[in-house]
Amino acid sequence: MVGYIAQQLVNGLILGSMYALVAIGFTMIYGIIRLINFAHGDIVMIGAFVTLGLVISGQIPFPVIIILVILAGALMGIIIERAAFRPMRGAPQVTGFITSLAVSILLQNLGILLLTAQPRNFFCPDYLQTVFNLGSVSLRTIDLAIVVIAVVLMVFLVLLVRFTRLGMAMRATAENLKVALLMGININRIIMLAFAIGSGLAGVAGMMWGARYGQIDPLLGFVPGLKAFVAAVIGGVGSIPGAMLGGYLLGFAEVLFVGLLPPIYSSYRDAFVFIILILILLVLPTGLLGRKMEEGV
Amino acid sequence: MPTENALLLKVEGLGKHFGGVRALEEYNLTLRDGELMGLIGPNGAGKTTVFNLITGVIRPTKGHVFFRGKDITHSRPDQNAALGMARTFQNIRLFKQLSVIDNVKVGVHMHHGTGLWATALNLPNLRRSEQAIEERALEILSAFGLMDYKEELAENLPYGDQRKVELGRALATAPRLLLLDEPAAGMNPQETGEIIRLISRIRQEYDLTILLVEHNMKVIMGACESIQVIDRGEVLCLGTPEEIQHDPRVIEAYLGKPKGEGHA
Repeated sequence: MVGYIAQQLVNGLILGSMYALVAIGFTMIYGIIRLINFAHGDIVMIGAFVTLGLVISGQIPFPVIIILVILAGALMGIIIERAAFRPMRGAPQVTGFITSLAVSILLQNLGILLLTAQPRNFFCPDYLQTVFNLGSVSLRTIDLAIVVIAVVLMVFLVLLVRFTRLGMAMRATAENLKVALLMGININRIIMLAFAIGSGLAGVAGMMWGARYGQIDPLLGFVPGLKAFVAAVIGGVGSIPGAMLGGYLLGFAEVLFVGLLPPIYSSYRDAFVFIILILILLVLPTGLLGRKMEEGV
Repeated sequence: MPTENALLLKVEGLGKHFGGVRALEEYNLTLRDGELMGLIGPNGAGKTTVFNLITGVIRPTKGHVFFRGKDITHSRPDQNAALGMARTFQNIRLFKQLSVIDNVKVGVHMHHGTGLWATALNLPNLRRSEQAIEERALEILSAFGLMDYKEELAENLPYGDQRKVELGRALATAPRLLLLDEPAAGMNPQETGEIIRLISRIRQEYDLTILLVEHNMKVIMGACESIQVIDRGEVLCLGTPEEIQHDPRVIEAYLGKPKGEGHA
């Protein structure tokens, strides 16, 4: 039993890492331009397909693939921001929200058009499939890689935001965009960067998603997008550490729910996720680490 | 005398209409290097609109703004900031969740860039410029007597000190022109006296040209050499504090016509 729980906890860690990575982008974009970006999950899908393409195309070393997938995600984020969201800058929040739904639908259908709706097997190189056992917990190399990569990227991001000038400019912009502009901060660049970083992380999450579940299709972004949204809200929208915390909490909760309750309940896992969300918001309306909302300017 | 100094800011025929509302009409202003001018007028006269137009927060319906010889009528606020323009707000707008020193550093950072690539690659010159920013921020904090609060979140400071932080943040951008929107609003007489002294001190030390909006006449009359009065979006008059205080048009704008004349 202890071994079983340990295994479930490890699974929760893996799932939580993926949720956290996607939730960070969600929260960063919301934090800076107050946009609920429903197209964010579709970057996960793009990341998954880019990874598959790179893996199939030849003997590219794994670390290079990771970097290329991050860059591809970042590039997509920049393109989407420039093409869809920048023209909507200053419009009411609802407009941005609907724009993001449109972008999401566009990306999904573009995916179906170019790649067909047929799920594809996610080809994972053998060296990533090696199973090894730690006591009663069994892990594949890729599972370990998912957790390590996620944690490294998150630590890097937190350091960037906390301790660099760039991070300071980002925090200032997130708090008050108009004043930041008056202080000489080029907010277009900061917004672009938030999209690039957030989407880069979502891209990597796509790679992980494919490797973990073995099959990908153009509509796969919906679930991670929704879960990341929930994770971000649980943690407190706009807070990066909150998104991480929310992602891991959600990952653990989901896995433990499925793992510990009788199997007949396991199809209620998503209902369970939303019950957690509702309970947390009842007690803490701004999420676990969220701050009291104040309207800027 | 200020009149001999170089032209810093010239506003010509500026107008701003919000729909049918004419917030500003044919507004002119000339500021020379080193001048400290007060801008007064009854509520709704258009003072804040003037500030927003000069800094580029809103675009004028007509007219031009020249700053340091450049036409900046259509420039963005960050471009104007880079040219040497800074402002404070009537209702304090600090980055509340940032520490006091970070607020000031945000102002300093502009002259060092956000350093996207330098940050990514952790270049050696980054550390040097990071240190320069820190030193400059500390210098400003100590000039303003805010050293004890430097790691405190800005929102936790008393009101009067928040005003000082906002002023310090504006100064950190190394401006030539400083636009102060009611710096003494909501302050008690002692704090007001302190802010007047602070303004005249920084003006000397940093070679500033200042445009000051204020309702507190003690501040306006005490600090400014010249005062422009606007009412209902138009310039009423320009003169020394003495002249303004006795100008019948100004008295009328603020108090209405004396009874006898009103119905004459």
